[in-house]
Amino acid sequence: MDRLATARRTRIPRLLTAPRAALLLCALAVGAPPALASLFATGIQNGDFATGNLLGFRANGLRGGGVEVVRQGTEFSAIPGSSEIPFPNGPGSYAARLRSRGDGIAGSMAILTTLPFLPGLSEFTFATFSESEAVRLELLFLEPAADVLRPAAADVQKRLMLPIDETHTDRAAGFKTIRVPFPRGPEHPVKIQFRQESLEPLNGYFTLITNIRIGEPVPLQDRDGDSIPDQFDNCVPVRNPNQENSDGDRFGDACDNCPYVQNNDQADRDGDGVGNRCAIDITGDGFTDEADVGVFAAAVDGTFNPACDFDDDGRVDVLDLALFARSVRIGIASDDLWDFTWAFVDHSVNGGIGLATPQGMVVSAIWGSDLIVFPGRWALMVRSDATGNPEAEGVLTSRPFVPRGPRLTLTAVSESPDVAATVRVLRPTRTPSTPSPESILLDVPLRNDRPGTGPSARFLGQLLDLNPWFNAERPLRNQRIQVQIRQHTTRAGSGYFTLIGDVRTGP
Amino acid sequence: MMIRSLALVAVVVLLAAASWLLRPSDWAHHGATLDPSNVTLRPGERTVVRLVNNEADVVALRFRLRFDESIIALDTIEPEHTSILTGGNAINLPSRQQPGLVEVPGSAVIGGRVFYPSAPVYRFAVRGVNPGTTTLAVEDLTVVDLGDAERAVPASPSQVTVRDR
Repeated sequence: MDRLATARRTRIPRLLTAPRAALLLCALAVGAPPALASLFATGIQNGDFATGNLLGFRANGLRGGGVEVVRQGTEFSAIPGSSEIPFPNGPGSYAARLRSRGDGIAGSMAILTTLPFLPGLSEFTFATFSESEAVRLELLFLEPAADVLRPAAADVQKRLMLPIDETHTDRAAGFKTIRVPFPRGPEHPVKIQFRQESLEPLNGYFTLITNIRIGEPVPLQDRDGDSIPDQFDNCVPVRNPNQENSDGDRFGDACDNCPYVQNNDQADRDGDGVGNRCAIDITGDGFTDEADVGVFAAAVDGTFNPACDFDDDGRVDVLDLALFARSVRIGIASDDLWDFTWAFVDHSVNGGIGLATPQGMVVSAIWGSDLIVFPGRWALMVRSDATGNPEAEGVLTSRPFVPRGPRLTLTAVSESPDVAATVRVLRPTRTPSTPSPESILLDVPLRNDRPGTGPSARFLGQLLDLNPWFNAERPLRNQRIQVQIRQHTTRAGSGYFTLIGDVRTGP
Repeated sequence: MMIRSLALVAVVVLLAAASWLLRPSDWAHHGATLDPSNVTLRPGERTVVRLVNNEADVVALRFRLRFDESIIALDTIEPEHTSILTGGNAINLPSRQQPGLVEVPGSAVIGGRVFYPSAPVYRFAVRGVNPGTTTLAVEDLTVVDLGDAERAVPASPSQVTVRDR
């Protein structure tokens, strides 16, 4: 049971799946409707759902997700125990239940939105409880005229990822009260929206929300001064305004002892700053090579070695081998679907987008993107937002890997000459969105001498020399690197994309 | 016109139902298989038998292989995915051999990749020793999937007959 629970918690989200790509692209296609100048009611109505229904709210869902009002004392989950969950307002009180569908299809999302209102005060509170840590719970502040399902970027005043702490489906369940300021102050009309998505497509988890109330202002603490209040900050002690979180666990990359492997326990038995889940340098010599594989094999053979016990269950077995192998990354060859969807992480900033897309998908408002012939079945795409805001930068970063050879090759095509795209080679960094100058080994502009779209678009090859960092005699003892693709539009008013058809290291 | 429309709707519904019933997950094999399932050899003759994985999203596996050593011998046991130590994408732990039993304690693909379904994962060079029939049987096949779930899966055996001409 413990093993199963651990497995459920540690499932790695696929960050670059086609459904998410479709959602993002649809969002791009929707323009920002003009702001409404009418008057709005002050305050939130029926925030405790005491009417027993969703009066004052709109309920929506994507891919089977949904919202309904549930009452304390009733069973409302397939997992037994939901009738025992104590609601903040006691027996017989109500809460909105946001539920994702667990049919194996990713992207099932429940959406609860208030009607537009004037805040009147500077902040509001609400109480929430999630059934599992494997949910993504977001809070959005929207302009009154924003599209509820796919709001345009300009209509999103602010977007916050809400922390999920304790999860029980029984009488030990505890609602958490969260206080949030209105991003545009008390005089700017707004719609509040909650979005819940299950991170495990096979499990449809729920989140309860109630007592959405506008209260008295209380200063929020922000100890690291990154303008993210502590209660939302995924790394309280370290300034990380971009909140990069490559593995989607509760710890931002800046604080995470395994930035690319989910480990909410942050267990680190030898105190070396590398979490047990990703401590693949078993011998402690700075590399993962023959010696580490030999020590691991001996541990499976009967000589227990805690350094090989990646799941901390007191034995070394095939599950530890799976965890060990997952963190070992050698080479990159992104003609492989797995490298497209697992090797790269979206670290885009200011509304930019980075994702993997299959050939034949419409990825632009300009005709022809679905007719571009890719070198393989998939390509990586980086782009700015639809408005061409030069600060919106699409950023894709590979997980750290050991190069297979002294050359990095890739092919790319940009939709327009009005883009600036670069490829970078980085030392492994905790701030991939904005790597420090010391982390950047190479920064090379991507060729863009034949921009275009449609069937005549051609991917152009490019080569980067990794020789200064490559040891041909002991390839496994090479320094780990990250490859990063960045692109922004240089002409405000239009957003363009760059496709990267193949990235690989080799001889 | 109305009847024609109803007939069209019925055909569409039937086609949708049929495609749902015949979706890949229903007809795909599960577990693993030894291929070929029947082998006939002469004493001293060799052939290759492969262990084929039919499960989706498998990142690591272990198993034992049992046989009658008086009838056949296993000359080599080789993973299909080569080791990272020789430029490949797998970590293959060394197998252990006893008379009539081979234990493979683990093989895993690196970097979040998977063993593709319906693809061989191991190959065994089987040599006929003495006339007779034995079952080459996979025991205790355990796989780990992308969600870190570990589970036992069935594997169908291979029947090996050794006969003098």
